[in-house]
Amino acid sequence: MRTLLATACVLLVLGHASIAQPPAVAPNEPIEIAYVQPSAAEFGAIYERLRSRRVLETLQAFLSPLRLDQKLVVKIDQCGATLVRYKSPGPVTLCYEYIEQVERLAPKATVILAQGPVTTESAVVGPVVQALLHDVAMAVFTLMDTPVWGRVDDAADRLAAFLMLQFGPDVAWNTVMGTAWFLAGNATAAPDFADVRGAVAQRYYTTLCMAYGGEQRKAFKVDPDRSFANFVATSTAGSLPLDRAASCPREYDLVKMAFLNEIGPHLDQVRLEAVQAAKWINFGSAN
Amino acid sequence: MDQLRERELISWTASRIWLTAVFLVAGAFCAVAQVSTPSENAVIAIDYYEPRDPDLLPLYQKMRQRRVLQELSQFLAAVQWPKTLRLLMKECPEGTAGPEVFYTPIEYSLTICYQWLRFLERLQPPASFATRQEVIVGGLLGIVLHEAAHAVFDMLKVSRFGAEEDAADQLASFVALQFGKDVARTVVKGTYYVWDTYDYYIRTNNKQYNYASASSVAPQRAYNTLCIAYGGDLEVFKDLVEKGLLDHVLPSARAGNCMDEYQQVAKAFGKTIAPHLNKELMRRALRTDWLLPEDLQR
Repeated sequence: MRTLLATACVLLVLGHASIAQPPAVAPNEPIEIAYVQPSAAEFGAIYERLRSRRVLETLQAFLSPLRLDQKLVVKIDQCGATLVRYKSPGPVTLCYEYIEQVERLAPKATVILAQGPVTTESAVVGPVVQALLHDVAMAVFTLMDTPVWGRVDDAADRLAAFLMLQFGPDVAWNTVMGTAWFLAGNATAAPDFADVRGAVAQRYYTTLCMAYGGEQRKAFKVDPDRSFANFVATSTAGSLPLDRAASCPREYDLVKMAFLNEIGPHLDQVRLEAVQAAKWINFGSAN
Repeated sequence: MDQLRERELISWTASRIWLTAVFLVAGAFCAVAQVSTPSENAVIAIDYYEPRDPDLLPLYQKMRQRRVLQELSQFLAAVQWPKTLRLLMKECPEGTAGPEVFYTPIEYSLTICYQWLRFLERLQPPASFATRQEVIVGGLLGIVLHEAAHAVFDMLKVSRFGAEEDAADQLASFVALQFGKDVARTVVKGTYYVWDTYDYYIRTNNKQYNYASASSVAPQRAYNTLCIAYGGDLEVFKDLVEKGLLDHVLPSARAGNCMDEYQQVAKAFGKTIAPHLNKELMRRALRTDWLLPEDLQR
């Protein structure tokens, strides 16, 4: 099942975590990438860092198993907002403003929570990987004419979380914890119930739920010091209540089933094996 | 107790509806012309449990007499159920979470608690929004369609990437929209009013929205229902969106996305559920006039 999206993770890097080695995987040709030079000087450093780290090129390689018969543009741009929701036919846009916000909210040094550690690099890489996987998932749903039940942004969050769990415990812990840290930091604003997207707090719990469900289903080897079970039914704020936790393995199963049934047939198996064999992110600890 | 139960295996057909029978909950009566034809696919078992609470006995008797579950089973006949679906009406234990209508996967059963019918009877919508009959009929049909959606997802092993409850809300709204303007508006308004009632309870009792739940919160579900409806038929639901419903107005930014949301659901339905429908029974069901104007006036 690592199958997946290996695809996406890639990205990451951002100058914090590093790509273990240049991925020897051919890029996905229908995916076009662009780093748009920001007009605001404050984003200049981010722009240069992303380019030098070849983040989008890595994403292209990571997504190589996807058999797309239409072009998909993925770009990093100055948006005037932190997020630009994907709308068919694209492009997928990651905003400099979002990256700046992610970096601003990241802890300056490792924070030890009751549930486990959150490092600076995980708090930066996690939400960026999640955002890219989320938006690519939105695009894939459209380009592959995928049947999606449930709110599409929530479905993309679930698929993104599922993918983050397929590359071992190190990637799983760091990307999920980083994402959770970022979402928790954004969950204080009053939610807009009419919004097409779920509330930030709901996205936080869903991400943790997928991680806990995946852990229970043994999607990755569990490290006792970094176990998502530490989030279940504790008195600490942000814990998963027992009734939600009980449903998490099934929620994970549903996304896995949907992925295998609806996306799996569109993956090139040879390329997939190559993607699975590569190490895409190195968080500096054993995987 | 067994003697007091009625258990049947039903052959299906699409005929005139169970909706009319639901009106009985509030005392309205409609003539129901029922035509039976042999089933080609599924079986549905029904069972009315006699309640212990004497206050619920009149509902039990009315429901049995009017054959509500039998007629409901006809409404669901077009689905080629791979397992026997059990439609149950019973008194549920005190403390059962609302809405007191639920699907139980382990036994493939859809249970309607008499308490849910009593809840609907007690609703008092403002006349400017809907009649009591509309929210009773719409509130019951909406939740039954929602729970039937869970049964469909489970038994047909339908792929779903998103949250289960949101998916069931979408399917319920989508199905209601296929049966014409009257059914669509009744279900949407009834469902919306039920969620609005829950939301009102939360807000006025200083309760917290449960963001950790696997379900969207009540106001989100109200908006989602209205959005799917508006996206499916701009003309029929334009007035509800433009003037707002009760205290809520669907923002233009969301309204502008509703057609996409409806199309998403239509595509998912076409790919994952339509192949499992008996097309002849479906055609007949779609041709049926499920509601009469006078049904909704009280």
